[in-house]
Amino acid sequence: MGRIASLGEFEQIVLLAILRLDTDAYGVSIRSEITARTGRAPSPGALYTTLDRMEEKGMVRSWMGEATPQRGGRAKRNFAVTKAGRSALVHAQRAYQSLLEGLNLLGGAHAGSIGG
Amino acid sequence: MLAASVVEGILRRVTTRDRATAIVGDLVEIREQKGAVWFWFSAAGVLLSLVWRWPLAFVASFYAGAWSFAAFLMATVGINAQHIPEDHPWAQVLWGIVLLGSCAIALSVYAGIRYGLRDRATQMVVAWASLATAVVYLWWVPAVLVTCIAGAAAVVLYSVCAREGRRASVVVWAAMAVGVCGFFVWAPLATLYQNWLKPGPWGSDDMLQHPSLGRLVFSLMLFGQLAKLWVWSWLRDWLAGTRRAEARSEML
Repeated sequence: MGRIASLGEFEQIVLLAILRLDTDAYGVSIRSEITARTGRAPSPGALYTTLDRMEEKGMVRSWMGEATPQRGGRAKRNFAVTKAGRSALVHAQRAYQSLLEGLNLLGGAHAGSIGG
Repeated sequence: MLAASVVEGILRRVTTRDRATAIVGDLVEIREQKGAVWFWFSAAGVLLSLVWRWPLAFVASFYAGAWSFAAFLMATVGINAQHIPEDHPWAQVLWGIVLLGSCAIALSVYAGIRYGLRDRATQMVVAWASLATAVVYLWWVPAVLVTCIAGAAAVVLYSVCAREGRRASVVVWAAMAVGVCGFFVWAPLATLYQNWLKPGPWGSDDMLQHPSLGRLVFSLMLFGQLAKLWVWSWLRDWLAGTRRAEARSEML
């Protein structure tokens, strides 16, 4: 098995959004999911270039879906996370978990001092 | 609907047909809530994010190639060079490295900006450019020469043994070959034209009297650059496509 690729923060967010959406992951729904969960609305340009880059790296795969009237008869491009993408995500999340261990950021004795 | 068709037509020039259709479909779907102004700003943003790397990479690579070629020539045969006489047995090899090295530097800048330093082909061409630069400037230091030969052997070994290395080396050497062949086309053509304008050695006054020579050399260099970069991008994207297809078939 090859080396696990590293992921940027936005790449992780996009991968998690695709996993949450399961079979309904396409440009609009991914953007909405990210906005709803993080409070940040990514620009379409940033989202599409990230998706293209991750597809090139083998993290996600895409296929053309159905066309709908509200899209002017244009097909959706659906996305799914590949095995390599899932592995990279797990690796990145484990690294975060490891760094968070003992910090108690979400409450407790250290929360006040870290938050200032 | 006309606006969407116009945007789709423009995006098809910079990305695949399917991607352009899907992007415009997404923008049309959101336009219902966000309005026409948002649609146009988003379309412009998407276009910019898809194309900004190419013109920047092209211009930076062109100047990096021309600048490094001139600098390498100065280092080997210029007035400040610790230079070797023309009849030195290794002179031709060194001048070959000058040509290949400046070509590798131009390609490093292009690939670095366009595809990033994590790309295997970028890493490989950066390695070749670094080795060539070290040899051109420090060829007379035995330790540097031995280190560069060992480094070159390591890169060749990786190019032969690793699958990713083989793919990257195809991209690198095809583009380098086009770059070097381009030089051997445009340089004699420019010399022929120069001799046709005025035979014999030229001074700066001659250059001022015949600006067409400068324009011709610049155009030929630009054309050579375009050919070299086109080969790089086409081969890289084609190989990336075959890798994706392999990954897909492995998943199925």
